[in-house]
Amino acid sequence: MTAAATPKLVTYIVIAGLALLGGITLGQPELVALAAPMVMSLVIGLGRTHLPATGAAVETDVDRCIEGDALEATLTLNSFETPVEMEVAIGLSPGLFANPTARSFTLFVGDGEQRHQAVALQATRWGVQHVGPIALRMHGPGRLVTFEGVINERKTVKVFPMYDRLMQGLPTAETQMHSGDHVARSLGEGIEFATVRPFAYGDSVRRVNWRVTSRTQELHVNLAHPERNSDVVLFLDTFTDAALETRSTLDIAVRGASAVAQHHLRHHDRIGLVSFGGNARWLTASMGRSHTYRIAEFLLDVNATFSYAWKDIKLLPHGTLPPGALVVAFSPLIDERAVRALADLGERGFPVIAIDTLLEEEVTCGRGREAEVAYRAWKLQRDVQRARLGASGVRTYSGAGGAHVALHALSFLRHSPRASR
Amino acid sequence: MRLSVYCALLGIAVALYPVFVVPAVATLALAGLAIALLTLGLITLRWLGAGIAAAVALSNYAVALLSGARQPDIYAPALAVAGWLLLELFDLAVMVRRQQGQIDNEVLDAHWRRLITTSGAAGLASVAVLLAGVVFQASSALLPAAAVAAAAAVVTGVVLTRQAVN
Repeated sequence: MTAAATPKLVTYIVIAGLALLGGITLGQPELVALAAPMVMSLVIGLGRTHLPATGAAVETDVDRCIEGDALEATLTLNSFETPVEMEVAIGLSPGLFANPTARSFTLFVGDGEQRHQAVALQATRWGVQHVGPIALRMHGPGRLVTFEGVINERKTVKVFPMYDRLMQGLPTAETQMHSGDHVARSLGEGIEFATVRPFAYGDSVRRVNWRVTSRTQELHVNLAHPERNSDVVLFLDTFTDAALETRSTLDIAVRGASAVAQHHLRHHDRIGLVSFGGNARWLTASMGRSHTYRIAEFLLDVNATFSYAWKDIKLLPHGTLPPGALVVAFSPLIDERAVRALADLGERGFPVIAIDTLLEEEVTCGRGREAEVAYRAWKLQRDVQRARLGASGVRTYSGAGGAHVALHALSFLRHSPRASR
Repeated sequence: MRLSVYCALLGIAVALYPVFVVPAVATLALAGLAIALLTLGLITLRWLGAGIAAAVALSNYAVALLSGARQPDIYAPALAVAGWLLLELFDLAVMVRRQQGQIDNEVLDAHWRRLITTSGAAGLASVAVLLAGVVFQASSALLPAAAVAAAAAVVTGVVLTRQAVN
């Protein structure tokens, strides 16, 4: 806590001093009488001023919520020795909103009293958000001296992104071993009819196709495509986060990744995550309810980290990219390292779908001829990058209107893209 | 806003007092300047305006006293209480209007209680001084003793009231 004199104290001292000086030098006792109330205020006020012993804490009613949810923070303020008038302001992360009149207030805390003040908040953006620190300003008697300080009391609230629900998943390249919702190309036990073949030792009698058997006078059995799951790896380019008019590229990426992950996890697929940027992080592919929470936690910590270090996909450990996994990349295609990594994945035979999160229509051209030329050159450069990715077998789709629009369009693809080898 | 109006009205009364003591162009001009500065202070919510206004009003009063129109001025303690109340009201107006968030009613009530009781006690003491002045004005020898007694009355009154309030 730092103590500071208020302008009122300075004014009182100056005016009282002038009045006393004038009274003495001019021989006018009336001027001394004029100074008397101010002198008394100073003597009584300053005599009773001392650093107040106070405490503050913050609590929230929830520690996890979804974007758009309303929550409540409760501030607890204590005064241990003397009654004190407190001006309180609470710091909030940019993803939390509170009415400006609600987040700062003045109240009176009596001696040994504990006051609670509720502040209504709204979670406006996904991420790990903080409620706090608490800034306090207290006034001594007569408001002659103020004590200011910041109490580093914080409460963390995890705000999960609100994602657009996909009606249909992305087309898978290869199915895996576990049972799921995708019809495998291979033959085996399943519901989807595949073909008919002559009976062989070990075949189940229930599979006998009696029509074909009676026609050919030889036992035939039905074969089916088994229902299997697939692997999807979500690749998030976190080298850059370009803020656009409506939302940032990282925001689009996280919402899109959430939508894909939730949809495929519901359909028993394994989902892996790679955050490829200044800080490379990954989550190996897995499935189930617990993995849903792991993905949600992972996505909350995704943020763009600036780095000069050259990075490629060799950085990622084995198992991060399971063979035959469909790679869905969300990238603004700005950083050369991310573009290279995507091309590398395509060249290694992974089916890669890249969703361009940089909405070009929101990037406006500057004024002047040079700016126009630069804008056109930038667009050409992006076309070249897309062509380069295409040559590596990476299909690029525009994320205009949000990633879910591109994902919705992609869900109607009958076959997953195959990389050119 | 209501506080600012009270403050402005009291400011006009305090600034115009020297004009009533000595009706002259100089005192009127200084009173006008003090009122203008106080208004500026109320608009900008800066203590600088109020401080300079108080200094100008004080100088104006000193000029009025030096002209010797009213010797001694038995209304001086009442003027002192009014001046102090004016500055306290200005402080309260600044506090209320500067605060962006809510102010607990208890805080405002406490300030009002303190202002009313303190200025009430000081006002009574100043009336006592005024009466002492009226009684002892004829005998100049007894005037200093009366002034000291009056000042002691002011001090006692204010201290006791403060203690009662707190």
